[in-house]
Amino acid sequence: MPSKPHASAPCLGPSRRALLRAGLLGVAGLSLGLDDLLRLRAIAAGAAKPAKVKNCILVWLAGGPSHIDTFDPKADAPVGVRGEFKPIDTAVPGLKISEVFPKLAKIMDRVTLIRGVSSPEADHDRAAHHLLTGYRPSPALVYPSYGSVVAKIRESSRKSLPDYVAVPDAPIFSSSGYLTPAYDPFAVMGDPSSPNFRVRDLTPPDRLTLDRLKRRKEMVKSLDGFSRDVSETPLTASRDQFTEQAYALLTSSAAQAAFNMKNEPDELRDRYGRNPFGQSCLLSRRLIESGVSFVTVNDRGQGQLGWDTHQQNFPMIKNTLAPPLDQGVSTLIADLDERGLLDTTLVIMMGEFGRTPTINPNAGRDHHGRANCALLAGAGIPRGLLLGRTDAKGDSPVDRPISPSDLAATLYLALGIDPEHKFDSPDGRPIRLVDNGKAPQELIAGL
Amino acid sequence: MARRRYPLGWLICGLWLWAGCGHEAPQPPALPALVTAPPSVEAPKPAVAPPSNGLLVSPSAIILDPSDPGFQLLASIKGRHSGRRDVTAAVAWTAEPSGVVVVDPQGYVKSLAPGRATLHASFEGSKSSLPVEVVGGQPSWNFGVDIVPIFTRSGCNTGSCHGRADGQNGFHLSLFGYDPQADYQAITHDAAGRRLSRIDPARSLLLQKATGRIPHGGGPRILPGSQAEKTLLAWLSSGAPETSGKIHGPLTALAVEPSDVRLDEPGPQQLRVLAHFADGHARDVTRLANYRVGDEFTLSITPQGQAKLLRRAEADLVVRFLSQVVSTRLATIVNPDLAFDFDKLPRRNFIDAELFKRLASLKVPPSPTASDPVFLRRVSLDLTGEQPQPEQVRQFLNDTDPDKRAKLVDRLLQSREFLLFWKIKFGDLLQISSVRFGNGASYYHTWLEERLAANTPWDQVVRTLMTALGNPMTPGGGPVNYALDGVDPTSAAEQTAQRFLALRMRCAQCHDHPFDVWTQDDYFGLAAFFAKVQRGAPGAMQGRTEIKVDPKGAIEHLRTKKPSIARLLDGKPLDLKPEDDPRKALADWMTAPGNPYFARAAANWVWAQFFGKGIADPPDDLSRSNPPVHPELLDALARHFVDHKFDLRDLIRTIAVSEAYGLSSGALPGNEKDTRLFSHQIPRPLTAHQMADALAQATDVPNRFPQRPAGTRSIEVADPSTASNILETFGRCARNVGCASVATPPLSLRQSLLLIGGDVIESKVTSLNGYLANLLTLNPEPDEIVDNLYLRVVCRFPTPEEQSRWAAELKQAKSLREASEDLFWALLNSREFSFNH
Repeated sequence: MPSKPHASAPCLGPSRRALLRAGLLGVAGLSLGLDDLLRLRAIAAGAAKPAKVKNCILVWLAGGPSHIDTFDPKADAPVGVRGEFKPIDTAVPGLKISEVFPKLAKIMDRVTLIRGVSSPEADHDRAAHHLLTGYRPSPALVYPSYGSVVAKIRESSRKSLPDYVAVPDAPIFSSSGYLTPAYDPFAVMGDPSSPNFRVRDLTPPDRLTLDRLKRRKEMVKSLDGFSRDVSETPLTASRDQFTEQAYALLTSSAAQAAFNMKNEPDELRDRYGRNPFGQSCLLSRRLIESGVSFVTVNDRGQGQLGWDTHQQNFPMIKNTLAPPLDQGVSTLIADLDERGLLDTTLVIMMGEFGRTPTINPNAGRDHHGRANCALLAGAGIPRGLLLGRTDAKGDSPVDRPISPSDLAATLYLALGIDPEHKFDSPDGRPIRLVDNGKAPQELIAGL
Repeated sequence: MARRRYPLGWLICGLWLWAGCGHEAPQPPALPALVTAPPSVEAPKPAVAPPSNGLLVSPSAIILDPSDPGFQLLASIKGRHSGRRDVTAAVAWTAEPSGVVVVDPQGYVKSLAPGRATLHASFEGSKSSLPVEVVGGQPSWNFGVDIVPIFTRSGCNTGSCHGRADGQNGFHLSLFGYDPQADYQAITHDAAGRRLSRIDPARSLLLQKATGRIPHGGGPRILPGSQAEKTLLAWLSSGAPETSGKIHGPLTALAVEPSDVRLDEPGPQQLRVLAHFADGHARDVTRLANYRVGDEFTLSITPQGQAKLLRRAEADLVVRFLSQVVSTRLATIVNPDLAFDFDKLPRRNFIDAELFKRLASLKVPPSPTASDPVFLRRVSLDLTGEQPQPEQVRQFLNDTDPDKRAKLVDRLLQSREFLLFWKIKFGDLLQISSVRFGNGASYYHTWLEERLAANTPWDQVVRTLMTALGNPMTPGGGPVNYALDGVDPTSAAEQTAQRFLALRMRCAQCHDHPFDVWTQDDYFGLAAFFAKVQRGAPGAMQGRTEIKVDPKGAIEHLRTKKPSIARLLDGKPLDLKPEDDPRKALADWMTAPGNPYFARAAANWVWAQFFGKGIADPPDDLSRSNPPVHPELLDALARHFVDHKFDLRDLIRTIAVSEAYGLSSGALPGNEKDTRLFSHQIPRPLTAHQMADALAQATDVPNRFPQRPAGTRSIEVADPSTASNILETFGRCARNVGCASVATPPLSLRQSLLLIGGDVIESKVTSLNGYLANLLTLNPEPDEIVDNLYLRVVCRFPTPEEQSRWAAELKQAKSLREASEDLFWALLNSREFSFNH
């Protein structure tokens, strides 16, 4: 499948200004409905969105969740392996997942579960690179994350919101890699569940008129044109791109409204869970609706690498890690589905690796790259499919391991991007988006 | 036997000595035969006169032992430029008489039967020949050396196959073969010995599965008919001994030939890898070694050791065999037709001599020297974190002293700002923060600043950190905090090795390091130095955590399950008494002038502070698999540092006054693509502290920090626990999970939003107490405003073109104040301001 460039007419001045007026009213207290916002956004873009642009929400489980205690329970394994949790039935007959995910169990008929995702990497950073870019780490090159690739391919569509957003912050190796930092994710920061949540610096100071902002922008442009002392490098070019994006964001109140959680009904906010992760999921849906192409929701648990349960694996998962995830992601998928957005939104959930079948002396599990799980939904991914399996102890995949590059190929195809597409590395050599990866036929048959 | 192998020893390296054989990895000490080799130009003495294309064949003689798998020949001719062209695979090789050896098209010699023969090489009319002897007799066997590499090479003992912790289908091999004894046990005795068939060795399960003749989960790993299969079968047929016959002893060194080769054009280069053993025997292991290429776009390599340089550039290749790792470098001249007089370049010190020598040899021109204002701003930012004041700019520009740059460096080094700014750099290295150390952090910081102020030699600083005892929460307890940093002996060891030796030991905890020389024994030997550190009872009240030596403290070795014995990384024995603090012995070894890592690590780190990247990069990785870009330069810097008794300030000064550091960031034709060789500076975004202070200083409106007095500069805010939006947005290291060795902030949309949308610049520019408001009360002319704003923000005068443009704009403006504010704002948002260039 070839990539689909998204041509759009250039911005038209008047409609942008009309939008700004409308937006300023909104700031003054008249809250706009979602439909209005979408319509305004379309006006601002000067063209309707092409029919089937597909976007992506990636839920990243930082630290590497234990597959055995979540989506790949091993009830028949010895006690030192199977752990404390029992498998429960799901909406898919015969498919069982761990009891820590009762809500996800009910929506398994809307998703594909992959068992036996397998990578040789078992170090956090290296494995995160592998899973988030589809490439094993190389000393010569950091590869771009999926979101960065999507942002680069979609950049021509000129939106006021960034193409790639991380909520609330970006996991390691979700960066632009050998592309320039312009394709790094925009990290929202802060806690979307806080009543005072707002994105910092998103509105210009009151006293600064848009005319003046525009004049200043022109002046910066002239200044940069003068200064020959600073040679152009990928870094300086990236900075210029960020500057452009910042002006676009600052002058679009529709873009700003996307971040306003207060526009969301209380009841729905409750359904997602009034906690940082749940509200991050909700914000990710709002951003996709507003035209963001790729949102990474970083589930860090309560630390940098929350799912890194070397100690006290079971109480950590049961009491701290699983409940918000179960509620947030099950609601996200159901909500997208109810809004008709699931057909055009790929949701993918995974962590950098699974964890050892053997429970260690600290009642924890250690890194285990060979067996991992991924949950995929939407964008034409089959509903209610189980793909792959691991052996009796959950140690290794049986029959068909799914490699991170296979996942990468699937992800790109689902988003309408050709995995064979090539970008140039900094010194001009073409590099394929996916190397050695093949999307499993069952996954892409319905695309 | 030993005498007969002797000639092989010196012939091996002969040809390549002239090419700078092995200058970058320390040469193994146990090879006197190699050192006495005659100069290589004389090495091959072909029967015919040297032909016009300069065909050279190496070695000049081969003696193959019964256990040697074969020998790789190398052939090259003169290139059109200064380099050589590898023709190993293009040469027609013949053996006379036949039946003794056979040479394959890649120039690899295999023995057929005992005897003597002559090998002839013929290439485009040129001929060369060499004698070869196949020694008869029974092969000797050494399982760990002869058999284990076959498993490693075939991928049998990787973490995803039999090398994983519990093996694969009941068959466990040690990861990458780090434990040959256990592997031998697994093959010969586990599973009731059913992996071997002593009656019919060819039907051994080991061989049948490995070759895929009977179903094998991992598929066929060894090709039927391959040398690996023959070796395995021969070993099995000899009764599968752990050792037998007169073995060569342990592996003592590994060498790759050619080492550091300069090719005429991009293209192939056959390599030869030689394993040197304790008895002096050298065996070709080209087809048994594992290869790794750093930059796969510049270099490729086949399992037969044929490298190929893919473009005009240089690239490094890392070779591993058993626990030894070496690297080699392949390069071409980058700009063959460049006309540039490298001899005329000014050289201020040895840095310039080394750098320009290298650039000249690759024909990559360095950019010219940066202009005075650019240099002033760059060196002020790098040494003090602060931009120069307008008055300093004027003085420096008017100064006609030819030595003014060096004098400037000396002046900056004497400033308080230098101490503050470099305290932050070292604080990042040591991860000093009150989140980690509580109240101890302030004592730690104070101690660090005092060391910098006194310019305490780096070896003393490190020795104090490593051995301090007492209470870290007391005024004298600053350095004691270091012991709190590693929560257990292994993390203390890893951290110490990485920070001060730039060695990443972590992989070696569970198995021998796959791409460095460190073994699991090295790892636990290092950890044992920290095993006697007692960090107080868990949960002890803050302020009562006394760091003591516990004579009974120990750390268990993961494999042997025995208490580890403190062991230096070079294996030299130690005489430690039970009551000693073993950290002292380690610190003595680390900081000794001859230590191969300590000075190089510091020199590389300091270099990176001035160039944004290390000579080996990342700077905290000096492993064998991350060879430095300029090994000679790094060695020279390290030597200088040692010779000057680890004087940090001298090292900093030496780099700061070099021509290399002072080069322009503007590229020239011929170096525009270079980001590797330091042929020009590369613009670096301002670090968090530089940006925050430059904004405050340009506008005369200070930043505010909680619980700090008004006017506090950000370089005075070393501890990351002091909240600051601007410092966080611009990538201050949080010092919680490690910092990059150089504080290069990742650019982000968030930064642009802060600068453009946020109140940070706007409020500073328009502040009633700020610089511009004060300037405007003096009723300045527009051109004076332009001059002053340029001086304040980008630390130079405007060009006439810039001056006239902006002065005109200010004159025409309806509001001079608003227009001046806009220009000020725009300058603070300019590319020139946001980069150190």
